Amino acid sequence: MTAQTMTEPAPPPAKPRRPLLQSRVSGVLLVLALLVLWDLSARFWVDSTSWPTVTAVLAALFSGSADLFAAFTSTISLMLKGFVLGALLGVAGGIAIGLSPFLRRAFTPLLEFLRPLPVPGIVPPLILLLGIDDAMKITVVAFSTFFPVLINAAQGVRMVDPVLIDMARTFRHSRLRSMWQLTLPAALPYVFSGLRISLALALIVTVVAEMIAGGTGIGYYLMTMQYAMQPDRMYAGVVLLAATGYALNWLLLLAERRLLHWYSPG
Amino acid sequence: MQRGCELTLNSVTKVYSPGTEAEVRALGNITLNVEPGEFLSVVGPSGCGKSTFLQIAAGLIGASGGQVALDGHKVNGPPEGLVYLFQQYTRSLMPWRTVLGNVEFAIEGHRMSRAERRDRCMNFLAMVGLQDFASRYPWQLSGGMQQRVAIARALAAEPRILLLDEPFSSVDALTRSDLHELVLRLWEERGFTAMLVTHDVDEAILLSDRIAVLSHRPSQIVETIPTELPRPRDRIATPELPAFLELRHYLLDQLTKRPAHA
Amino acid sequence: MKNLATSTLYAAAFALTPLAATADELTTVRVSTIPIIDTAPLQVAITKGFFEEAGLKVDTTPTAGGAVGLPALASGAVQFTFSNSVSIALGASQGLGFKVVAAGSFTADAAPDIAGIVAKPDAGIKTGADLAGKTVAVNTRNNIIWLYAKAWVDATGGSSDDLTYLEVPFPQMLDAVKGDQVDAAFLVDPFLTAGISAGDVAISGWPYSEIQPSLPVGMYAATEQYIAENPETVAAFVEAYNKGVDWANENAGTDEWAEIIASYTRLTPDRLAGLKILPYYKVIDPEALQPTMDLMLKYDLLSSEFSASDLLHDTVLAK
Repeated sequence: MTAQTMTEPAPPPAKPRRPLLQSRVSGVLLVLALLVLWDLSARFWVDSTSWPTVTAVLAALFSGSADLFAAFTSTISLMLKGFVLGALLGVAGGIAIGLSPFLRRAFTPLLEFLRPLPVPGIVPPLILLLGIDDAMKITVVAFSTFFPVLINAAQGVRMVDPVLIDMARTFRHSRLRSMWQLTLPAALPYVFSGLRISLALALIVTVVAEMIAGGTGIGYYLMTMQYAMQPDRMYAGVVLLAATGYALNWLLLLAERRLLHWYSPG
Repeated sequence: MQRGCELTLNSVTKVYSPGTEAEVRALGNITLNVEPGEFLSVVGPSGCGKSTFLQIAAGLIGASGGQVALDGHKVNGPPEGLVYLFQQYTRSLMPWRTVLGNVEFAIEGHRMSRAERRDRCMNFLAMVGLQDFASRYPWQLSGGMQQRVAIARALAAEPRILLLDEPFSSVDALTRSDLHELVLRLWEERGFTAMLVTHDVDEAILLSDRIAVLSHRPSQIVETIPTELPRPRDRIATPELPAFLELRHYLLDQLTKRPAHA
Repeated sequence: MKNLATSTLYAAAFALTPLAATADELTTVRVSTIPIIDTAPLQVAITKGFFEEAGLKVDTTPTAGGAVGLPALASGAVQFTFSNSVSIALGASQGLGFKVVAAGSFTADAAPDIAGIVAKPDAGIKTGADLAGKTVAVNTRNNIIWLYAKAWVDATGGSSDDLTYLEVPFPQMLDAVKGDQVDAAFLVDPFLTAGISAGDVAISGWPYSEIQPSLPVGMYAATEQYIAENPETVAAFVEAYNKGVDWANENAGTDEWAEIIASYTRLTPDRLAGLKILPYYKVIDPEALQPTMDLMLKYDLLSSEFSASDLLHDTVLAK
């Protein structure tokens, strides 16, 4: 160490920067290789009416694009409503539970009881309460989004450094300001990791809910095409779903990089 | 220039988990008076409860017995005019805020315009030599610079008393020396009262008017020694003075000869 | 606190949902349906405007699996549900107040039927006795497929307790047989026709028609409460539906018929062309339904005797 450290900033801590281009190229190559393997397997090894070739799937993706697009917008809108609702409630609940030992003790048993419930298990009682329309499906999606966000937010709130809280106290800031300016930002990385788990879950649950009930969306499209023995169209839906999941995750990562540029885990 | 305020600790005790098997008597019976504008250091063996002592003085934790008063007013929580400089400067800065944003936090909610707050905080950043780093983030700065941000933030609150909890203990020697000079200059310019807790005897002598020596747990003040060194202090020349060396010898003697468990 | 959270959640969920279209002079009813050829008369009646003529606007809620139709009926989310006799009778026996108001689909009066037990062509499975110790695929346990698979095994010299019933969705059954995950499968169209014509599987037996020719299988149910409160709507629904039955029987195989079927089943023209088309009926004879109730009792789906005539509302009985 020299006196230089006084006048010049230390180099920013080495951020985990992966060589983006390289990793993306190799990632794309892997996907392409798997697609080729899929196509070859459908042509030569797997003799099944429900295992189409990649070319047939791609053709179905384009020929069925109008249907798929309608199903896609319906699924996405349903998913986003449920996701936003579940995420908001999860963050609010997580903060409350994280901050209050009383609430934590009161709600933990209930939450631990509800959390592992599988979607098909909660759909029938929800139908009794909410019918079979969007309200029910949004609730199911919100339900599954809620828990990962809640648990992560609750943990994040408790991860705020007590030194920061003491610091705010010595400046005589209110608890509200402390919460808003210190606890929430400190919990944000945890909230985001919850959101990322929930986003993938929300998409899956939306599709499952659509498979169970209702005549719209990708889930219904997948089921109908399966029962109509049009596996190429079904897999076109699956491919679209995979691409959607990828794009959503990418968008969330983008938001995360903007909002959490200051955060380096560990 | 604001007048520094007077801090009084009267028969302060602190017991953790009283009445249980885990009971720890951290502070014995501490009575201490820090004069307005005085620079007082508290030294003691490690684990003697120096931080507890300072946190009680700051109103961050309550005492088990006795009273703390600032200018005669009883301290129940963090009082006005008092700022605490933490040992863990990295942890006391908000990584999601810029350097300027961190300084501004000290006076957010005070009645002034955004521009006024910004200008004022830029001034304090300039005072610690960080005016060119206002838009950086704390984690982009070296340890010494981070502690300067914390100091600028403390100054922004216009403290009449500054409590320093081993704030120079985790930087390298040269940086520490730079920070000593900075704190001495700011204390002289701004006239606040300062109480420093440290285990570094040289640091205590260089900066202080008086040094209180703390015993092992349950801590008591063994003696209070005036340094009687001339001001302004110089970080190179002052430690070469015979009086400095004599006091250093005496203090080290006192701190090392005590048995580990009194 | 929990109540507040729940009601907020529901309020928010509803707020996000577009409001239902405003009612006009037509009475709107919701029908839970399954997008298979069995529900052709309903789709015909919708497409041809028979319901509108009767003053009804019919919203269908297709559920591909059919699992939620009856819970939705019980909850009042839908007014009519297309389901199978066994599931409806199960619900009725549990006090859910289900009544059959209109006929749906019947099996064939002789082989070939629309559903059958298949195995690999070289497996040599021709009777229930051949299935001893083997595994047979059914789409769901405790439903009509499972019930008639058991009944067929017992009726053809085997013992229904001697084999394993594995739940496999219809679309996966052919692959399950070909991949030897199961020895046989109780398959329905279009998978049955497709599997046989491709030579992948061969018929072992026709459980429905071998046990009882022209068995009533699919039917439309409503709740007793709804029937009591809306007798005119129910009558109008059944009348318009029956017009659809007539039209479907008269026009089966025509281009217009094919267009209607393809629009909701998504079956391709070549699949449609290969399907067996059975006649639809307007009435269900209690005598024809009673054997199914008796089988349910025999195989422990019911705990006491259940009379088929208690399940059938006037609108589905012969006048």
